[in-house]
Amino acid sequence: MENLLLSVESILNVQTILILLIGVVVGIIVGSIPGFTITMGVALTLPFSFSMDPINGIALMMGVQVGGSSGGLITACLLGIPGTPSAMATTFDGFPMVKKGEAGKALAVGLWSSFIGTIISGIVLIFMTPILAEWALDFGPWEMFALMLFGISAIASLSEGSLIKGLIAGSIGIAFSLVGTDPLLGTSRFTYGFTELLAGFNFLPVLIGVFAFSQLMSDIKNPPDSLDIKFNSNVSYPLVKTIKDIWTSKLNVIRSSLIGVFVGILPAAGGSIANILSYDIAKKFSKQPEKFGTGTKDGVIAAESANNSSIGGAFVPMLAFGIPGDAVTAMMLGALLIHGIQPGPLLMQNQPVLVYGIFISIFIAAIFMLIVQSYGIKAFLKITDIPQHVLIPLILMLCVLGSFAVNNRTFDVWILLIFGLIGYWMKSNDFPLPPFILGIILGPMIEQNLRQAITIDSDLTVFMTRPISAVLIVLAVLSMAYGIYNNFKSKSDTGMTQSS
Amino acid sequence: MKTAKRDAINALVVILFCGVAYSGVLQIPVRGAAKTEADFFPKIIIGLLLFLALCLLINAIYTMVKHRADVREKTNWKALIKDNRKVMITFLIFGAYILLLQEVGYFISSFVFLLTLYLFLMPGKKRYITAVVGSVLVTVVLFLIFQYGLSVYLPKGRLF
Repeated sequence: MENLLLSVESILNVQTILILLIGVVVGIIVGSIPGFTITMGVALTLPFSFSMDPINGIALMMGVQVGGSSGGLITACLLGIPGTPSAMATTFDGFPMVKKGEAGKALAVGLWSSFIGTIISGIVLIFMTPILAEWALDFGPWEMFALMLFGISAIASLSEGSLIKGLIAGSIGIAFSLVGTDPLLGTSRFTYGFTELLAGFNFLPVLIGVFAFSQLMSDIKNPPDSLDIKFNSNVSYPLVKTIKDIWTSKLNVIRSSLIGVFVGILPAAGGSIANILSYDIAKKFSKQPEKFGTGTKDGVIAAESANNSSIGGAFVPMLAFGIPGDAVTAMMLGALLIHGIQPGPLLMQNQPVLVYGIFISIFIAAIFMLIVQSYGIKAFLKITDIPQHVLIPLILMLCVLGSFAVNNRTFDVWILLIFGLIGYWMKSNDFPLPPFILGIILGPMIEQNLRQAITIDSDLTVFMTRPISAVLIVLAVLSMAYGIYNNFKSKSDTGMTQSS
Repeated sequence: MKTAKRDAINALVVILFCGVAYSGVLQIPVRGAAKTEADFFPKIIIGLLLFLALCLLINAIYTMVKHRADVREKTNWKALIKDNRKVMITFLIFGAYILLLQEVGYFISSFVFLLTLYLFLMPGKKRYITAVVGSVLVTVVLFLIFQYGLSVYLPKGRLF
C-alpha cells in the first residue's frame, strides 16, 4: 500500500502528467496515419525517454501506446483503412456505420470501448503481475532459459509469414546481441577492431533503425493512401447515448476486453490478433450475427475493446518474467534496460514504486485518451492529412538525433542506417521483425542463463527433469509444431484457392 | 515462384552471414578456464542459423523444381531497381548526411538533408520557397529542443 501511495505521488506531478498527455496525443496522431505503426511511434519516443527519469520515460511510451491503439479507430471508421494493424477488424463495421451516416456513433462507441478495455486490462495487470512475479522468483537459470526459449519460439511461430523465416529473424537478432563483451568471462567478441562495439550495439539506434527507419523506407516505396475523407461526416455524438449504447452491449465489452488481455499475455500475440479474434467471438455469441459486417456497433465495440485491453496483457509477462508480450513492450523493455533497470521477477521487489507507477500510468493515459480524442477529433483529422513528403524527412531527422543522443557520437547514426537497411531487407522479404528485436533484447539473457545452468550442472537432462523448465520446453516445441501446422495449412489453402 | 527464387537468394545471404560470423568466432580467444567459453553460445546460434538457412534454401529449391517451367522466367532487374529507386536514393542521401554531419556540423548538414529529401519526395511541381523555409525552421526548432530541452549537444563539425 505504501508503495502504491509513493507511486501515485511520483506520477501525479505536473511534469509526468504533461508527458503522458503528450504521449497520448502523439500516439493518436501516429495511430491514425495509415502506414505508421504504434511500434514506430514508440521507437521514435525512445530518444526522448532516454533523457528522462525511468518513470517519465515509460509514461511517455505508455501514452503513445494507449493513444495509438485508439488512434487507429479514426481512419478505420472514416476511411475503411486501419490506421494500425490492430484496428483491422474495426473497419469491418466501423466503415459501414460511417457510410450509413453514423460516423459520430461509430467513433464514440469505439472510443469508449477502447477506454473500458484499457481500464479492465490495467486492473488485470495490477492483480496478476505480483502473483506471477512471486512465482517466478523460484526460477533458476534452467526455467529462465526455457521461458525465454518459449517466448522467442512462440513469437516466431505465431507472427505472420513462415515459421522458418520467423526463427531465422530471431536467430539473427540473437547473433547481433553477441557483439561486444562476453557477459561471463569478459572476452571481446565480433568487434572487428571497433572499440565502439565493446559494449555491444546500443538498443536505441537498433530499435529505431529496424522499426521506424525501415517503415519509412517502405512508406517511400509504397506510399499509403492519403486521407481523403469521402463522407461529409458529422463526428459528434451525445455522451448519454454513447453510454446507453455501451451499456446495452456490456457483456460484449467485458468479454472482448478479457479476450484482449488473455491474447496480450501470450508472448506472441498482440492487438492485431486480439482485435480479429474478439470480433469473431462476438459475432458467434451475437443474437444477430448476420448484422456483423453491415455496420453494427457490436462489431466496433468488440474490436476496439480487445485491441486496447491487449496493452495491459502484454505488460504482464514483461514485468513478471522480463519477457515482452509484443514488439512495443519489447521496446519498453529495451528502454528500461537503457536506464539500467532489469525487468523480471526481481523488479517487483527492487523497484515497486516504478512498477506501480507503470500500472497507474495506464489508467491516466486511458483517461487522457478519452478526453483528447473526444474533443480533438477534428484537429487530428487535419494533422493526419499532412503529406508524406513533409513527414518523412522530419521523422528521419528525429531518428538521427535520437540515435546520436545516446552517446553523443555519429557512430550510432551509422548503426541506425545499417539496422535500417537490415530492417528494410527483412520487411521486403517477409521476415517478421518482432522475433528479430526479441532476439536482440533477450539474446544476452538467454546466453547467460544457459551458461549459468551448464556451469552449475553440465548434465543437460536437468532442463527436462525440472518440471517448470520441462513444461516450458514442451510448450516451445508445441508452439513450433503449431507454426509448422499453420504454415502447411495456409500453403494448402492457397493451393486450393489457386486450383479452384 | 518469384517468392521461391527470392527465398533462395535470402537463404544464400543468411549462409554468407553465417560464414562471416563464423570467421569472427574463430577470433574469439579461448582460455580453457571455464565449462563454457566465450565462443560456446555463438557456435550454437551460428549453427542453428545455418541449419535454418539450409532449410529455407532446400524448401525454395524444392518449390522451384516443382514448378520448373516458371523458373526459367528471368528476374527483371530493371523493374526491381525501378521499384526501389526512391528507397535507394533516400539511403544514399541519408549516408551522405551522416558524412556531412561529421564534417560540417549539425546546422548545414541538417538543412541540406531536409531540403534535398523534401524536394526529392515532393510529387509534382516543386515549391522551393516552402522547402527552404520549412527546412530552416525544422533545423532550428529541433536544435532548440535537443540542445536546450534535452541537453543533447549536437555535432559541431569543422565549421560550426
